Amino acid sequence: MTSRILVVEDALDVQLIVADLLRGHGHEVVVSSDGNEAVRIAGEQRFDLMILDVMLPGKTGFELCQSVRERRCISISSATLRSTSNTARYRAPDRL
Amino acid sequence: VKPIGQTRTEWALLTVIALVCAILSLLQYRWTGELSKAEPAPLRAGLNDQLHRLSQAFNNEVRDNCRMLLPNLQSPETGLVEAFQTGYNQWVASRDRDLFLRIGLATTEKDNVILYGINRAGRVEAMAWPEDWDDLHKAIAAHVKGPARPPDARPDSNLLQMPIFGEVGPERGWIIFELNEEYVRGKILPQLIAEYLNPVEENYDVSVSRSGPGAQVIFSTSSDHSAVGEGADATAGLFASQVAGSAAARGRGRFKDEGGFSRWIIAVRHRGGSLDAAVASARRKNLIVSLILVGLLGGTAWALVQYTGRSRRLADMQFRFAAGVSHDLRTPLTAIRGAAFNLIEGVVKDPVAIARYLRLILRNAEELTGIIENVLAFSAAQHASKQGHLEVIEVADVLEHAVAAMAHEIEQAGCRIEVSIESGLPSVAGDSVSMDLVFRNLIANAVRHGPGGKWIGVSAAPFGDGVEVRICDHGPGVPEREQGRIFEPFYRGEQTRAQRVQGTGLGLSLVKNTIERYKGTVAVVNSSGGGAEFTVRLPALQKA
Repeated sequence: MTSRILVVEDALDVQLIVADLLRGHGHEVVVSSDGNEAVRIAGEQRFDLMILDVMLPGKTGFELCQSVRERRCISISSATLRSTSNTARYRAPDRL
Repeated sequence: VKPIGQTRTEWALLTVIALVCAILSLLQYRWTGELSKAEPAPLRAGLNDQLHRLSQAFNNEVRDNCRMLLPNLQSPETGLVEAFQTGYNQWVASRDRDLFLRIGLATTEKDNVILYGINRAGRVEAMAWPEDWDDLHKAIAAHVKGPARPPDARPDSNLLQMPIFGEVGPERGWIIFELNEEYVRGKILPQLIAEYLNPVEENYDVSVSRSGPGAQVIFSTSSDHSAVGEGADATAGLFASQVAGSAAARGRGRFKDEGGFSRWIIAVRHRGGSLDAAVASARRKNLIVSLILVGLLGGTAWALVQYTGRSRRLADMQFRFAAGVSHDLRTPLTAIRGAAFNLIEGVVKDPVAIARYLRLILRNAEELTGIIENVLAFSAAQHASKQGHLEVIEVADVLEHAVAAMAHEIEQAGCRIEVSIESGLPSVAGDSVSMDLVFRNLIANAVRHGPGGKWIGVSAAPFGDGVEVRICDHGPGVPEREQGRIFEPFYRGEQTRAQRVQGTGLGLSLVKNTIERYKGTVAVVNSSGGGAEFTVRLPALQKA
C-alpha cells in the first residue's frame, strides 16, 4: 500500500537517504528542511505519515507537530522517540 | 543553565570573609594597642635589672682587685711596706694588672705622709707625690695632723683610697688605686655590655659618664659618642666611691654602696629614640604584618571563589562541548550509516545515484575527520606550553594551501571566495601544520556562518613589522556581546546554536591559542559592509 509521507529534516544528506529508503519501499515522499515550510506543506497537502527531526530551523519538530495537530490535517497514531539531551527538555505531554 | 544561585552564594561568602577579615583587623589593632601600652614597663624593669647586674659586676671586679692588694697585717710585726709588696706580688701573679694605672701606699711617719709606689721592676719604693694626686695628699696630711675628716672620694677623680688600720689606733696608712680609665673604656665595659646587655646592645645605645658636674662622657656606643642623657630608658651607678676595709680585717673590704655614691652613671636608651617609641614602632610593624596576612587571607578567598567560578564555567563548557561534539559526530555518522544501508539493501541501483551516495559518504567522513582533527589539535594545544617545533612559514603558501583544502566545502556551501595576497610578505615563525589548521578553521568558520552572503574574502598584506591576514564573510556577523567570548573554548554563540550551525566551539579557540603561541594576535569585528571580519597579525621572523 502506497502512503504519502512528509520527511522534515535539515541535514540534507540524511533527508536524501530517508527519502530514498521510503521511495524504495514504494511510498510517495515529500521533503522539507524548514519547520515553517513544513507547516505550510502539511496545510496544503494531505499526508499519511510525517517523519520529523526535533531541532529544525524555523520551528522545532514538537512545535511543528502541535501546529499540524491543531489544523487536524493528519491523524497521528503513534511515534517513538529516543530521548537525548535535546529532546529530554520537552515535557512528557509533548511526546507522542 | 547559568549558575546564578551559586554566584550569589559566592558573593555572600566573599562578603562574610571580608567582614571577618575587617573584624580581625580591628581586634588585632586593639589588642596590639593594649599590649604595647603594657609592654614598656616590664621591658624597662628588665633593662634596669640588667644594668644593675652589670654595675655590680664592675664594682665587684674593682673591689676584688682592691682586696687582693690590701696589705695583710694579721701579724703585728709585719711592716706595712713589706705587706704591700707581698700583696702586690700576689695580685700581679693572678689578676689583670692593667685595671689600675698606678697603685700607691701612703704611710705616716711622724707628721709626714710618705708615698710608696711600684717601680718598673715591680718593687715597692718611696716616691714623690704625683701632681694630680696633690689634693689627696693634702687631705691625708690634714687628717693626720688634726681633726680633719678622712679624705673623701671625688666624682671627677679615678682615685680610690682605702684606710689601713692596725689592731688599735688610728689609720696606719692608706692604699691608693688609680683606675685605668682607658683600659676600662676599651676592654672592661665592652666585655660587660656584651655579657649583661646582650642582645640589648644591638638595639640600644649605652653611655657611661661622670656623675659630677659636666657629666663628662667616658664611654658611648652611639655613633656621635654622646651621652644617652635625659631620655634614658634605664640608668645605674657605676664605680662606687669608696671601698671600706682595713688591713687588719683583710677580706672584709667592701664598697660603701650605702651612703656612698657612684662616680659614673651608665645609661641605656633605645636606638629608636626611647623604649616607648620602639614599642610603638614594633606595634606598627606588627600591625602591618597582620594587615598583610588578613589581606592575603581575603585575597586567597577571593581567588578561590574566582577559580571555583572559572572551573564551574569550564565544566559547563565541557558539558556543552560533549553534547555538541556528540551531536556533530552523530549527524555525519547517521548519513554514512544510512547511505551504506541503502547501498547494501539495493535501495539505490542507478550508477549515478550510487556515485552520489559514495560522494556523500566521502564528504561526511571528511567532516568527521575535520571534527576529530580539531578536537585532537585543541587537546594538544591545551597541553603545549612551549612553542615546540618552529619553522620558517611563508604565509602566502600556507594560506593558498588552506584555501585549496577548503575549496570543496566552499563550493558545497555555494560561496564565492576572493583571495588577495600581496607579494613580498615577510616570513613568520611557526609550525606549518598548526598554521594551516588556523586558516582552515577561519575559512570553515566563514563558510558556516556566511553562506547567506555567498562570499568569503581572504587577504594578506604586510602590517608594521609583520603580516596581517583578514578573513571576511557577508554573513550575519558576530553580536558585540559575543565578540569577546567566541575565542573561549567550547563557546558557541546563541545564533550559532539556534541555527544549528555545525561546529564544536573549539575552532576559534584553537586559532587564538595557536596564533598567540607564535606571538601574534587575532581579533574579530563586524565589517561596515556586514558580516564578520577576522584579523590575524603575526610578527615577522627575526633574522639571526
